[in-house]
Amino acid sequence: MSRGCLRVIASTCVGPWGETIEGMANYIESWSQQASAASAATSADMELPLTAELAPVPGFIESSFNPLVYRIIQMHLESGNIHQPEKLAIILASAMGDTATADCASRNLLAGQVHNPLLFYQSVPNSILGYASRQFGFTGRMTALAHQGDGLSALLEIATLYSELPDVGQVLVIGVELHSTRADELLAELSGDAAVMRSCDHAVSLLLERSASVDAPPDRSADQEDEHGCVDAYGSGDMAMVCISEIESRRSENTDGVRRARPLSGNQGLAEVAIAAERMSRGEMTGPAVVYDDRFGGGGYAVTLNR
Amino acid sequence: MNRVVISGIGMMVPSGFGEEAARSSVLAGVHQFRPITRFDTSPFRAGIAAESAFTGSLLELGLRLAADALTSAGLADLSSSALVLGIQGDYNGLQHYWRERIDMGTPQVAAGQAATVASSSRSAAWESESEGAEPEGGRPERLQSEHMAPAAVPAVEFLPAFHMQTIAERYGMSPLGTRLCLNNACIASSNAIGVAYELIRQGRANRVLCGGYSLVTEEMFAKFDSGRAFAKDGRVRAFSANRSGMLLGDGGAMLVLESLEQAVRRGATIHAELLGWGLSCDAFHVCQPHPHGAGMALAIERALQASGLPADQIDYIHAHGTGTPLNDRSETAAIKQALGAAAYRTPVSSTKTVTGHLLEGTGALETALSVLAMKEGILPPTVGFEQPDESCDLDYVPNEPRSARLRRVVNLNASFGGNNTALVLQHPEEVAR
Repeated sequence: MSRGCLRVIASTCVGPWGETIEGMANYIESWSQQASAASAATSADMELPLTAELAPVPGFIESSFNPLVYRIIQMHLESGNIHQPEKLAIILASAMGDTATADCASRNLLAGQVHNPLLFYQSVPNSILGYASRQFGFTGRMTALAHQGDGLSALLEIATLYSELPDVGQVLVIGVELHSTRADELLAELSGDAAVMRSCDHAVSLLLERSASVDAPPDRSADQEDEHGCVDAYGSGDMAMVCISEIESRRSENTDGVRRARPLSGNQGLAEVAIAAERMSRGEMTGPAVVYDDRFGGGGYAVTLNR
Repeated sequence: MNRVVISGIGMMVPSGFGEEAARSSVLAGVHQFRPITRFDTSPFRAGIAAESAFTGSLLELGLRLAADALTSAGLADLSSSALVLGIQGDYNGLQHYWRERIDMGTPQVAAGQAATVASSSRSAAWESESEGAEPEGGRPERLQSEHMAPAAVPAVEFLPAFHMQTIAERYGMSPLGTRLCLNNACIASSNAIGVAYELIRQGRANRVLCGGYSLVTEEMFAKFDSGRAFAKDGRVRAFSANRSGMLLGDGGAMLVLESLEQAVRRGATIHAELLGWGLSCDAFHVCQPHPHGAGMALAIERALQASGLPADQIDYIHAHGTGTPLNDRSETAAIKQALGAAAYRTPVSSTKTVTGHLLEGTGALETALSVLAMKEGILPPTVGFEQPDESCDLDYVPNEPRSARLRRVVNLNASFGGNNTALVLQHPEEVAR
């Protein structure tokens, strides 16, 4: 089996911090500082609305799930990084799913109200991918998945598999979560610690493609133009090569019993990879960087990035 | 690259667990549709489904199917295995969560979370309750009905990944093992089988337990009913000119996939070889299939290419065959596009005419039924077929099972968003050739 790596072509995010990776990094840092300085109750003070103007997506309810996913895809297209739409695979992950749609429909049923056939929680991930596919001509592999803890490992597992297939050129992995009280209750129950996890409306993504063997990465200096002539997503104009070179199963990171604050519940690992990739691309980190991804039940992954 | 075989199967059809239940209903062509008893259907237009006698929770069904698959494969547990599920969580968990809060009279509407619905279903009743006031005319009668009380399923069981975690822990899976949970609606479990196949083929796992399952719940029933998706005459008549829609059903399947090399080494029974699979998107519509079946045809072509097979080597196509006017026409067009002239020589049938639509579980059950059909040498019939349709002009094995030598079978599934899967299976006798 070849030991190729997944090259990070670009990353995007949307959340209360706006649409920049650096904004997301600052958000995580400031929330973590507050959470560690005070009680869990302070997390309520950090509940911020989305600052980005999300274009509505036709159909369904006034949930931000679909607009978040659509905006993420739109940003990658605007940056010119998606080269062959027909060979783009998309993997959409969420721990809690579209809680707004699910909760609304369930309450309506109990209240004996007329049902809107489009209030269809389990169809939401497929439907937004179907909508985007129509808009942008994506005919490749579309997969939606659920996860516990962080979605990073599940997303990278499937991205690695799909990137080996002849009909796949690039893989876009997207993690999306919404804020809800039910989600926070369940996260507290599953993690055993309400202080370290919280839900918030946001989405994070990585655009990946298969690259050469990790043992012999392509010789491409930071000032060379990418083979596709694309401009990087960070605006610096020189696409540094950042690869996810190793994805290793491991026992839980928290062997000392101290849990890190995870303000982007569900997408913390994905966000940290996006942040590390951007900083490496800018030359602010030389790497390698290791991002830990936890899942409930004790297991997790260590994801290594190299520049 | 490794060859991938199926070495264990646990399945449930509406008439019960195991091969015999499937043989006497699906292969014999005896439909399982009856009035629903699990919840009160009086508020709805329809009231028919292929409801089983199973009284456990959805998670209990998953645990049972996993145990049956492991037993069938001669395995004691999931050690050294990966787990890939294609499921949705238990809606009774979500309903229970909200029932508790509404019954307490303090519905907790999350801050920042839209409690509104698209204009047509926005109702004064819920808004009144949200404000703590009793809706005009009192609380809706259905809230007071004991018949409507769902089983007290914990809210956490609404999370699909909780099922994955529970099954993994119950059957001794290593915390470091790969576990994935797909939830892309009606292709979820066939996509899960495809991912399991890739894990083994690419050498990232030696053995994978995979599959999916579903039970008819009030929430899902209400949505399809509201969308007028159900067959008006209480029967699924796939590919027949007088077809009028789908019906839901109970069941599912879990399969043990492993490398051929490992299965032979440990002397496992090989039920079938999985030769390849395809996954595609229509790029056409949020909820309607492509009218010419372009996406489904692409999935079939990818699956045949991955399998290294020409179209005329396929002996049977197990269709998605939901019984809706749009699906069956589109699927027929896809089969003709992908198989060319061979399409007219290839039998096609829909077992949803017996089992109903199992949503996330449909791909796994229909894969298991495809394997059973190959083993028995029987083409399962399309039950309830009455009138030929100009746009559906293939051999649909109408109403009666037929004996046939089935060496290679394609199983098709499609879902919302225009996603399509095709799985190519091969009879175990062909594996050694």
